[in-house]
Amino acid sequence: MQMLLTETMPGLFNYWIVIVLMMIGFYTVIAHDNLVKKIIGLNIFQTSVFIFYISMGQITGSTAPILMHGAAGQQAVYAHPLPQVLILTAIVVGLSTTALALALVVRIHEAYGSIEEDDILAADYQRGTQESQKEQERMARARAAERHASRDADDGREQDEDAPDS
Amino acid sequence: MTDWPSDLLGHPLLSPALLMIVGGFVLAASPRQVHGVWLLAIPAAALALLWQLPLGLHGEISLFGFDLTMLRIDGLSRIWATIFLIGSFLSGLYALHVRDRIQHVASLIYAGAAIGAVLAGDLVTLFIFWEGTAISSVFLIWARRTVRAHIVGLRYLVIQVTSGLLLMVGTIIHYRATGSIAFNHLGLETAGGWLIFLAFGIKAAFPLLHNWVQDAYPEATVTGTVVLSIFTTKLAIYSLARGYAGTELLITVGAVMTIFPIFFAVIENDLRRVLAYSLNNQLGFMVVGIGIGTNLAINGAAAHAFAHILYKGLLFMSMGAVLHRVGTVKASELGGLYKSMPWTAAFCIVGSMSISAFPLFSGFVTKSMILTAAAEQHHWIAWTALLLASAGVLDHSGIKVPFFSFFHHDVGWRVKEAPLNMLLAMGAAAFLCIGIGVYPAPLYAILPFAVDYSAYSTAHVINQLQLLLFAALAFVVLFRNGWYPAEIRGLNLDSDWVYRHALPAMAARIHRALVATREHARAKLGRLGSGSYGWLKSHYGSTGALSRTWTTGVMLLWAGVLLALYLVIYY
Amino acid sequence: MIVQLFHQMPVLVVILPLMAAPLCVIAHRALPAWLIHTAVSWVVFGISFLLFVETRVAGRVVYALGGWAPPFGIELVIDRFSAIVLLLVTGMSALTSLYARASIAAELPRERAYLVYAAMLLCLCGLVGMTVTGDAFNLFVFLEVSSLASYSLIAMGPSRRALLSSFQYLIMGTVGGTFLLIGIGFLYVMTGTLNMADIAQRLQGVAHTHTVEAGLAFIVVGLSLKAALFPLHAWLPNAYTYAPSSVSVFIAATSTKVAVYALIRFVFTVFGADLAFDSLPLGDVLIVLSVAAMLSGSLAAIFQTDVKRLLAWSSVAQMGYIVLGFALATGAGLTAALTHMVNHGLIKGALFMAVGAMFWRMQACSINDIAGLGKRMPWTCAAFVVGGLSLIGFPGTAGFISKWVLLQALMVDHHWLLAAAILVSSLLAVIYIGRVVESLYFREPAEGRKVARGEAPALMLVATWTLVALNIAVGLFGAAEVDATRQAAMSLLGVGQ
Repeated sequence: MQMLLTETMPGLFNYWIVIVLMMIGFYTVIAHDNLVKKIIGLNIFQTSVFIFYISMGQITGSTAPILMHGAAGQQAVYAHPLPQVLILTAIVVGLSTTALALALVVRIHEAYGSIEEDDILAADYQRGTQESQKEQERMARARAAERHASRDADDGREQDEDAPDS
Repeated sequence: MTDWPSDLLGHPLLSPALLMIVGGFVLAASPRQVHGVWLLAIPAAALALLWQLPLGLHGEISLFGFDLTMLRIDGLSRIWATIFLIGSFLSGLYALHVRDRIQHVASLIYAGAAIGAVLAGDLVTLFIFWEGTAISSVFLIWARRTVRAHIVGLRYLVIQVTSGLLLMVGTIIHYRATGSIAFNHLGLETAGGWLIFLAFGIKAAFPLLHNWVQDAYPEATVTGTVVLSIFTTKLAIYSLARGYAGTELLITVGAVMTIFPIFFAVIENDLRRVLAYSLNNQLGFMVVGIGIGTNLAINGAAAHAFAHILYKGLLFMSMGAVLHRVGTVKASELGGLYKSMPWTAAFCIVGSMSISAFPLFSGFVTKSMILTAAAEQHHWIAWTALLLASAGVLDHSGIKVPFFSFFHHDVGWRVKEAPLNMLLAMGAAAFLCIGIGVYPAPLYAILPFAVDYSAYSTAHVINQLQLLLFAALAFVVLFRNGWYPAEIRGLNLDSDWVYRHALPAMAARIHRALVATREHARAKLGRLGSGSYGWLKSHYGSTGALSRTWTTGVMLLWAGVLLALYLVIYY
Repeated sequence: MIVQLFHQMPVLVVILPLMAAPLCVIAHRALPAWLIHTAVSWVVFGISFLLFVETRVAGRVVYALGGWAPPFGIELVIDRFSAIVLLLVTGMSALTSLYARASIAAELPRERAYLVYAAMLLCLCGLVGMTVTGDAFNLFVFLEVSSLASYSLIAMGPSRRALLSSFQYLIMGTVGGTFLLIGIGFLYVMTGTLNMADIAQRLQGVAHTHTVEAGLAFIVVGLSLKAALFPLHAWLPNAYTYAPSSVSVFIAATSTKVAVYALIRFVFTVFGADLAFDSLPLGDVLIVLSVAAMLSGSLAAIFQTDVKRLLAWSSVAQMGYIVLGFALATGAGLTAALTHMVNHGLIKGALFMAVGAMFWRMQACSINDIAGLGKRMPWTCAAFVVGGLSLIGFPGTAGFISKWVLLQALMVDHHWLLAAAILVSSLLAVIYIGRVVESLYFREPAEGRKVARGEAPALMLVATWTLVALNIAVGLFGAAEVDATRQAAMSLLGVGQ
């Protein structure tokens, strides 16, 4: 029975769930434009890992690793407590990440008026393209304003070397 | 000064090269009023220091795990360091009027790096200073502050650093193969040797690796070109002489180098570029000398480098003076300047006669050494090539440069004579050119090997005569094709003279073919270049796919792909 | 008492910044927060230096956290390798603290400045923790601490684009961290322990199971994300560009390096080179990626007009050098990787500081904005030139040492093509640095702006030039550094202790 449980589908049920959740989470982060949905995806993704850790500390028929007194305590099989402790830490980390991410989304919404990544990137691209055009023009202007000959003159009149240097 | 403690003299910090470099930095921080003094005093002090140093290896220091020899004073390195310092002094004098801090600093550091490389006793030190020359010299091009100079300077820098990197890799391989970093004879037996050879070859402007010279030198500032023409290529010649003396391949390379620039020099309109081509041709003589590798040939190469720095510097100085006063050095826009700039014209003619190896001028007493060495070793093909090339030099540097700028028909420039400091620098160079030609003994005395050679001794008279006869023959040929009369009437010629008469028919055909090939290749390369540039720009430019911001999804997708890749490989 | 403290040093480097961060928040004002940050950074740096000296002598310093004996308790281990990284991280923090005051005052609203100092201390705590810990899970926690701190630091950048950059970094960083967590989980499943040394020992029996191999894959990808190894680098250019200057300095010089440190630590100490490189083709994949990083990063850098962004792309390329050395998996290769980790920190620190000073002056740092500054800010620009030379690998600078050691490592195994790739990448570096230098010295200020002469504040200059001087010092006396990194590499490979 035990063999059956651990090595067949039902016994690995937790791990299948882990994989499915992980895929869902990862897919959501990749595929969704909405920043909040991305965060949700990220949370699902992280949660799958939490379940993964908890599952590996599991012993068939065991109980939560809370010390029991008396006879029950003597006979009880406890789940491995260490992964659970670890995951407590990881949950805290995940929580902070989510909080920070949400705070960023609020700020992004204030700054861009949207929380769709495409919109934001489009705004950035547009701005970036404008800026790079502006920079190109500035470069061209700066070049044109130089005290010197045109591009194709290969003797390049020597000008004004005596200009003061400060 | 003579009673400096001897242990102090060998100290690595007491090196002419470091003196120059530190001098450059001090100049950078000092007020403008003292720049002039500094420009002249530092090379003079460094020269004095150089000759205080006894022969041998000094300045051993330990740097990143290697025992380096900063100073190796022997005949070969000392003559090179000497002429570098003289050149630095003269170019400093020539640049006195310039009020551009960056140029002054760059020329001093550049000269210091070149001298450091010449005095280097091992490959790592050589590499350090080698890169130093690359980086410092580019400032002399950028200081022209034209759009072209910016682009050309960057191109020049990339080529120079490539040479440095090849040297570095070559050194590592050489070190692994031999366990030594000493910079002595290297030879072409190992892969490292080849890489180092290539590195030297780039700086020495071997054929097909030469374009940077003509590309960059005419784009530098008036004084920058003079400085550039002194150091980089001659440093490479020194390195070849040190590492590859007697390498047969060099004879062929050198012979080709002497011949092919002539054609380009003749059709080139920018006179500073003409000089850059003839620089290449002159380097060919030295390379042949090194390839022959006998004591006489090495002496010849060293002496020729010595003389060459002076007369080529003189020619660049005179063209620089023209550029400074007139604003152009295009042959087609110049003429008749001898009236306005008589002194410059005279000095330019001295330079031309030196480079053409007229008797009693410096080129004569040095070039003949290489020719004699070639004849002694029975390298007749190379010898013939050198003779042909000598005639070619006469054509483009000896006649074309002074003729088109100072004589020819008067296009009406009425300008002031060059500034006094320029005249002084040119005068000093001209004096040395004639001085060496008339009385070569002091030069012979500092050559690397003991000299039993005299340009005027009977033993070599025949060779000299042959050279002169050949030059005369070339003249006659030109005369019969309508060139020589033109020169006689030079002052009232039509401007289209060069197109109607100048080139003998066959030479013209060769030129046309060459030009066509060059243009074709240029267009091809240009297309290829701009094509790949366009491709790169479209991918990496500010809006390119590879350099603009990706969406988070794309970023993560890559993470997924990479993870999948690892997992697939591992399973 | 003193001796007691002496024994507590490994934990002090982690605890001090952690405790000081809330103090900064409590102080709530820019000046006291800065003072706390500076004091703590320098103290931690001093301790790190002592630890460095101690490892040079003793080889290893071990500290059992809370008195719990390893492998059950968390163990802090400082060996020669981590001591070097520790020194780099804390040293950069100390120098950045000098630099930050004026820079942050100019770029951020006054009332938010204290938060930057607090977050920087937390980031420092995380990075230091990652470096000293000997516990795999602990490393994950510290990684997240440093990451969270850096997300918020980047988000404080003056432009609104900092926000999205930070968000993207957050997503990438969290996924990376979670991958690492999964990988550690696999290891834990197979070995039942989290202590790195203990894992390494117990792995020997089960090394060739798919679980361990999958664990390696997850850990490598996760840490590659944090280390911005091509093609997982996309978060980096924006993050470095839009962060406040002093944050760029600190993060660029340390955070990717520490991620690579963790990667090297896992691959060599935990999995062992035999498994990762001999049985599995990790080296080949990493070599391909690192070459792609070098070329792609350098090419992208050439086309940038924003100088900070240019440097960020160059960082992508430089990570390629580091990973290349590590991927060779030889003693010489590891030595090169460690050397360049340190040197690149010094180089990029100096360059970002110089650019930050220009930003301080001009309130912008596109290549057009900084035109003509060469004469107006001579010291800053000179620092940029020296840093640039070092990046190119000019002899006498730290970059040269890196390149020299790396090329030597490649020559041992006759990797000619890789050497060629490095040379090409160096040439590209010449171009992009050349563009900036040319603009600094040979162009006039844009749009005829009259820019008066004037340097950056003294403390900024001091910090910048300290790094520049270090670059030169390493360049001139690199043997000592290479010696230290070689010993570290040997201790990682488990030979010649």
